[in-house]
Formats: sequence, C-alpha cells, structure tokens
Amino acid sequence: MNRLALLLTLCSCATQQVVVRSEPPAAPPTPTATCPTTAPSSAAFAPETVFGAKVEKLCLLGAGDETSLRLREAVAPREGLSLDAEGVRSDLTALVDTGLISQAAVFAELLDSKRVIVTYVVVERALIDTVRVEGGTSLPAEIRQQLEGKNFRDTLTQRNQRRDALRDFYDSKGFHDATIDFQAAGTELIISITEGPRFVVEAVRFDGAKAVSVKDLEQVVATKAAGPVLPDVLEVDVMRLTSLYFDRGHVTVSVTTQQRPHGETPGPTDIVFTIAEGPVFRIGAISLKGLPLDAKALGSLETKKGAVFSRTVIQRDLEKLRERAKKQGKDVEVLPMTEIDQTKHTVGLTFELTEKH
Amino acid sequence: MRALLLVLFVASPSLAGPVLVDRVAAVVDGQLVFLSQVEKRASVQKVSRQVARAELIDALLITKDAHLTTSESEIDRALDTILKENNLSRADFEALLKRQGSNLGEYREQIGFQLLEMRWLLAHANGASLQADDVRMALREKLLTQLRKRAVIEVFE
Repeated sequence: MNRLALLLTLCSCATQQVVVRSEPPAAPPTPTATCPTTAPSSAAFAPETVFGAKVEKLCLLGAGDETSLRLREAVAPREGLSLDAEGVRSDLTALVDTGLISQAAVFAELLDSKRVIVTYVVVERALIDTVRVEGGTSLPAEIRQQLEGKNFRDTLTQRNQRRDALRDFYDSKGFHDATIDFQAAGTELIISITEGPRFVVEAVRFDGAKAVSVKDLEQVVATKAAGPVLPDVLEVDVMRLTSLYFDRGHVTVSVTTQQRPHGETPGPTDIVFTIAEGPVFRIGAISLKGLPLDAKALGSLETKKGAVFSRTVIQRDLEKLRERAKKQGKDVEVLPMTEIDQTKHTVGLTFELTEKH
Repeated sequence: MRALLLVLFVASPSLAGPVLVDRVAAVVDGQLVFLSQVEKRASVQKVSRQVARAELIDALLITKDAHLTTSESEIDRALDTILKENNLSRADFEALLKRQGSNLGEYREQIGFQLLEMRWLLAHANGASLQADDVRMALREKLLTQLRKRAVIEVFE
C-alpha cells in the first residue's frame, strides 16, 4: 500500500511539472458525461439542487431500441437548455403522450456546478398477446369479442376503447355500480369486472298527478317495471311528461324524478315522478306580427281563443303559417311569443313572422 | 488507502449523486399528475402524499368534466374579498403564503379551481341550494364517484 501511495504521488508531481513547463495553468479536467446503465435505486427528491444547470447530456433507460428512438425525439430539444420544473413536466408529458410508456421519472446528476446529466427512466407499455376477462358473468359473447385483440400495445386508448364498450353495456343493463379495472401481466391484459347489483325498476309512481290519468302517463314514459333503471331515459321521460301536460294546458307544470331503493337489498328501485301540475291555461288573444300575410291567415289557425293551451297544436300552426307564407312567395321564420296571465290563467299568443335569411 | 479513496472521489464526475427531479404520479385519462405537484400539495396542505395525489386526481376529473374556465378578473375579485375579510394587505398576504411554502400564483390557481368547482356543482345541482356544507360535499362525492368510474386512472407509487 505504501508503494501504491508513493506511485500516485510521483505521478502527480510529474504531471504538475509538465504543465508548469509547457503551458499556462489549465482548468480542472472536465468530467465526462456518461449515461448510467441502471436506474438509480434510491435518489432523494431534490429538484431545486439541479434546476438552473445546463443539460449536458440526456439519457434514457428502460425502453427497447425502437421505442428509445421515438422517445428521444420527444425529449431531445432539452439538451443544451437550462433545467427547470416546467421543462421537466413538459418532457414527461411528451413521453407519456407517445403512448409507448406508462411510467416515467426524471433523475439528474450534477457534473459540476453548472452542468447536469439528465436521465429519463421509463417503463414501456407491454405488447399484449391475449386479453383475459375476470368476472363479468353477464357479458354476452359479442361484447367479449370486442375486448379481444392480439399484438397491440397496452395504451390508454386501447384501455379506453374496452372500458367504453363495457361501460355502455353495463349502463344499458342497469349495472351502474360495475367496476372495471385493467392490469397488464406480461403479455396478458387482465380486465377485472365486478358487476355489482343490477338496478331494476320495481315500480313506477306518479306523485301529484290528478288531472291526467296514470294510464295516460304510463303510456308516454319509456321507463317500465322490470326494466333496467336508465338515468338518460328518465331524463327523456321527464321531458315527455312535461310535454303531455303542456298539451293539456298545464303550462306551469313541474316534473322531477327520483330513484328510491325498494327494500334494503341494492338493485330493486322505485321510480317516482313528482308532478306539480298547476292550473289549466287557455288561449288569450292571438295576433300576427312582422311580415304581413293575407287577412284569413289568423282565422285558419287551429289554435283558437278560449281553447285549452296545447304546445303540439301551436307547433302545427307554426308549420301552417310557414306553408301559407310560402304559397304567397315568402320564405319565413315563425316565432311564437307567449304572454302568461297568472290571474286569468290565459296565454296570449303572438306569431312573429320574419324573413328567412 | 484513505488518500487513494479521496483521489477517486474527487475524480468522479458526480458531485453529489443523482437526485429525483420529478416523475409521473398518476395519469388521468391521459392527463398527468406529477410527483412535484403531489409533494407541494402535501407540504402546503399538510396532508399525506396519498391524500394529496387523490385530491389532484379529483381536480383533474372536475376540470375535465366542467368544461369551464375562470377569468383572471374573477380571481382578482375573489382575492380582494379574501384580503378584505382577513384585513390583510397584499404584501402581508404574500409573506404569509411564503411562510407556508406557497406563493400568490399558486394561491390564485387554487382560487380559480374553487370558483370552477362551485360552478360545476351548481350546474349539477338541479336548482337545489348548496349553502350547506354536507349537501355540497355529498353532491361532490356523488359526481366524483361517477367520474372516477368513467375515467381511466393509473396511479404510480
């Protein structure tokens, strides 16, 4: 050991002698920027210690050759720039946006006080050979077929397509609590499904309905007992019920819907439409405004003063006026303007005709 | 031997070894949550990293679902109200934020998100009052549960 130490000392002296004789004092040797071959096993989260340093070299670990080339394209512009938080986030986003990787981390090591070597460590998304579905006993064969696939990369897009197909199916059947999870295991994509309870309509009720029979109300709603609970359909049902009341003069009607559990077991559900009917309104004064039509136009309308208000009848009158104007060589838009009298329970109606552009 | 080790250490290109600069903490329908955001939130809000990450994921889900933006002038007005109610000057407030490890820019972002979240809730409230905290929180959780089911969320430890 003494001999080794002596040799080192001698070497050092010799070098110093050469430097002193031949050239002015040299800068300390520049450390070379060499990419690491393995990801740091433990590194503290300390970005502030490296921000501001110039990126001397970019390295990429964890991807195959072909993937590496594409990933490098995403982050290459960083080389030579000053390292900062926004740049790093932008690079991570660019890497993930390639769809080729799932995870990415950025490590940096100072070469000196001003230069840094930056290493991106990524986890490539797997190439999937088979798709396995766990659970999902209610899934029909055609949906299972949609989930299959070979030689595709396990990207978010691929997962989204499968999730959407599953979600659409389960929602349409009333499995609103179904959970769908994905996990890649080697070359296999495992889709784990927990269906949960099926929400089925046990009964449909119309609270507050007096002026319209339950039979008439049942005919307009698409939600039926024994069918699945479908929130989208319930929304349409509310609109249909409102329209029915509007056609029977109840222009201030309000319809809301509620799903109430039927019993303690999750699944069976009572659908309750709560209806505040309000009074029946009749047609008040009727007039035409805007582009003039012939004198008989107003009298030709189906809507008459004193008649029960009906939105459907008014819509037919709008079409009649358009046709009438067309026959007179005018292409018009017809806008119905209403004025509600809450005391007299009447609706004044003005059809405004404007030239179509 | 001690001398040799010292020489080797000085000659190493590394000054202090590698540090973690940032990493992907979660991906929510293709949008990223960064470790740096998680660390910051955990530190400022004094919550665990898991809670901070979950909150950031929820924020992304809400922002995506809301299809809304908050204008700078709205944030200005909200900030002025906060300063007035707390009897603070802007300089005092900035100093306070700094002591908490935050800054005005980040705080403005938070206000912007809170305004957006409130509008998002109102849009789904069907006219119901959201004055009561429990009503508001129940609606928020119900909506978020639906959004979480629809989204593809990848979380990385």
